[in-house]
Amino acid sequence: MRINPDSEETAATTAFGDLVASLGTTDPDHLDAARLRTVSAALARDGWLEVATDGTFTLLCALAERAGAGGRPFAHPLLEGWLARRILAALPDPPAVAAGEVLTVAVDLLCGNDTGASAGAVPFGGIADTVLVPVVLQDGSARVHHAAPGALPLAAGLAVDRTVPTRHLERSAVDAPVAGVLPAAEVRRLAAEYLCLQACEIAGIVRVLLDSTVAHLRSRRQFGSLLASFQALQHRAADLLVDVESVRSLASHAGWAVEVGAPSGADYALTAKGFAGERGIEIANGAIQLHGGIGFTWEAGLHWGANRIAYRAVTGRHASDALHEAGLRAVARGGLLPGISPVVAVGTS
Amino acid sequence: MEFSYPAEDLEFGRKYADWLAETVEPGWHARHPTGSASWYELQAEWDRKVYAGGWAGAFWPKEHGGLGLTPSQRIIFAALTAAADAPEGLGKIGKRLVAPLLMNYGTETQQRRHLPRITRGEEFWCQGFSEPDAGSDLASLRTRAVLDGDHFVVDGQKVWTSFAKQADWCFLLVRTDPDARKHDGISILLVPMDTEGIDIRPIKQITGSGTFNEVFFDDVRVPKENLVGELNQGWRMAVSILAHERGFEMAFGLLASVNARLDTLVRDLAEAPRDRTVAAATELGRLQARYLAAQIGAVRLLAGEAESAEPDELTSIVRMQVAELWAATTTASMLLAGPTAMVTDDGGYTGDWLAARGSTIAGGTSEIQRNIIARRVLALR
Repeated sequence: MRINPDSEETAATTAFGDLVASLGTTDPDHLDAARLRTVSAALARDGWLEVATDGTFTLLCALAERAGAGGRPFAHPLLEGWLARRILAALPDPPAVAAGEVLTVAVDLLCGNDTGASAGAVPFGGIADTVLVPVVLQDGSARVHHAAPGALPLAAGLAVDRTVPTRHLERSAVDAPVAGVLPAAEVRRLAAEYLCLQACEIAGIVRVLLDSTVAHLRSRRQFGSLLASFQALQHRAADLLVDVESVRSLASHAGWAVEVGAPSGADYALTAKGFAGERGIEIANGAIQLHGGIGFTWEAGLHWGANRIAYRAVTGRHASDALHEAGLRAVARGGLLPGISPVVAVGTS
Repeated sequence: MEFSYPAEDLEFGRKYADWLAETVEPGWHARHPTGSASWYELQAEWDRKVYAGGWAGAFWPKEHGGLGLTPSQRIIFAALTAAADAPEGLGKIGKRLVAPLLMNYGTETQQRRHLPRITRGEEFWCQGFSEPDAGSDLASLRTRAVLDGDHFVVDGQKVWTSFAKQADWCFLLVRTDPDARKHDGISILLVPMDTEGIDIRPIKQITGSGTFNEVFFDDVRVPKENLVGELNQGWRMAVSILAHERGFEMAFGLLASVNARLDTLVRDLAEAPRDRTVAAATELGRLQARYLAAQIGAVRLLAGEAESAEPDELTSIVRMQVAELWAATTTASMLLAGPTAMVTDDGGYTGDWLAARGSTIAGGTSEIQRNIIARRVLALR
C-alpha cells in the first residue's frame, strides 16, 4: 500500500486544483451543453481528460479527491468522462472521440445499481455530447452502446444535486450503435473503478465540510466565548475528523487495490464506496449542525457538498447496498478481507 | 497477494510465520482464562520464547538490542503476530512503555540495567500512573516522593495497576514539588516491587476476572539514582509514554481481536437461518469497512513511528478508530449472532462485550482522546 502520495502526484493534483478553481463555479440554472463544452475544452487543453488513460488509476483517485475538495463540487462529468474514456480504451475497436468531447456513462447499469423499474442514472445525461450505455449481459460481459442523448430513452432523473443534471435511462434495451463488447472481467474492473472515484470525491468533499466547520467554531462567539472552547462541540468535531480520516484512508487504499489488480479490489471498492456514502452523509449532517443556524442558510453553502455526497451515495451503487453485498461476500468467503496481512505459506521457509 | 512486499521481507515473514505456527499453543485462550495463575505463567513464558526464538525487540532500534526492522518488515511482523493470535506477553508494559522511556530519557546505567532483562523476559513491569483522585486528570496525582539523603521516600496510592503482583519493577509517577503548578512538580521513579512498604490488593473486574490492583506506598525508600530524566520534568515524559500506550502495538492487538470476533460472527452467520444472515450483512459490511480503515491508520502510525521517536497526532485518531471499533464490534456481534451469542460457555460474545468496555476507558478514555484531537489536531480552544 502507499502511505503518502509522491511529489509528482502532489504537483499534479495542485495544478489540477488550480485549473478547477480558475474555471469558477457554475450556476445550476446556466448549466448547459455549452458550459460543459467550455469546461471540457479547458480540461482537454492541459491533458486532464486524456489523463484517464495516460495516467495511473491512483492519480485519477487523487484528482477526484482534489475535485471534491475545491469548495463547491465541480459541476462537470469529470468522473464519468474519465470512466467513459477507460471503457473505450478497453474495447477492441472503439469509436473515435474528439479532444474535448463531453462523455458520460449510464453508471447504474455498469455498477449493477438496483433502481427499480428504470435502468438507472445517467449523470449529465441530457447535456453531454455522447452517452455510453453498457448493457451487462448474463455472462457478465457488457455490450456498450454509444449515442447522443437525443437518441436514447432518457427521462427526468434524480434532482438531489442540481450541479449534476441527471436523466434516467427508461430501459436497458436501447436502439443505438454498439461500440463493442467488454469482457466480464473488464466490466467488474471498470465498475470497481467508478465506485473508487466516487468514494475519493466524497473524501475531498468531507474534508472541505470539516475545514469549514472548524473555521466556524474558531471564529463565532456565544456566551462570551469562542464556540471552539465548548467541549461538547470539540468532541463532535473530533468525531468528524476521525470519520473524515477513515473515509479518506479507505477510498485511497481501494483505489490502490483496484489499480494493482488485488483479488479483493472489487470488495475494497464496494466497501470504500459504501462507507464513504454513508459516513459522508453523517459528516455533512454534523457539519451543518455545528454551524448552527448559519449552516441552515443557502448562503453558508454547505448544501452543495451535502447534496453531492447524497447524489454519489445513491448512484453507481447505493452505499448501503454496497455494504450489504460486502457483508454477504464476507459470509460467503468465511472471513473478513485480509487487509494488510502478508500472504505467507507456513512451512516453506 | 493483497499488498506488495519486497521478496526479502516476505522471506522474513515466512520464517516468523513458521516460528509462530510452531510456538503458539492452539486454543490457549480457553485453557488459560485471563488473570488465572496459568495465564500469567503462559504470558511470562511467551516472553522467554520470543527471546529464545530471536524475535525479541522487534520494534526496538538496533543500538538497544532490537532487530532494526525495515518499515515493511515491521508491518509484516505486527500483522503476523496479530493473525497468529499470539499472547502479548507479561513483559508488554516493559517492552512498549518502559523501554522507550529509558531509551529516550534514561541514564546509560538504567538502560544497561533494564533493557537486556526486559528483552530476555527476565524482568516484568507495572505502570504506576492512575490514582483514586487522578484518573483522566492524571496530573492531579498526589503520591509524594520526598528526597531524604540518597533516597526518595514515597507515600501514596495507585490504582488500576495491571500485573502489580507479578511485576518486578514499577515505573511510578510521583509528585516531587507540591508547590509547583500541577504539571511541573511531577517526576518518574523506577521502583523495585519487593521494596518494604508496598502493599498490593487485587481488584475484581466487570468480567469476573482481571489483572487490576490497587498499590499502596507507605514510606517506600527508592534510591535517588532511580529517578528517570530530570527532577520535576516527569509530565512531558508521561505524555510521551501515554502516546506509546495508545500506539500501533495496541492498535494491532485490538484489530486482531476485532478480526477474530468478526470471523466468528461470519462463521456463525453462515450456519444461521438465511433471513438472519441477510439482516446482518449490512452491519457486518459497515464493521468490516471500519476495520479496514482503522488498519490503514495503524499502518500509517507504525510507519510514522519508524521515522520519529515520538508518536504524533495520528496516535489519538487511530486510538479512537480501534478502541471505538472494538467496543462497537463486540456489541453488534452479540446482537447480530442472535441466540447463539447467549449459549456459548467460553465467554465468547458476551465476555468480549463486557471486556471491550475497557478499551474506551484504559490508557486515556475516548473522551480524553477527543479532547486531544480537538485541541491539538484541530486547534479548537
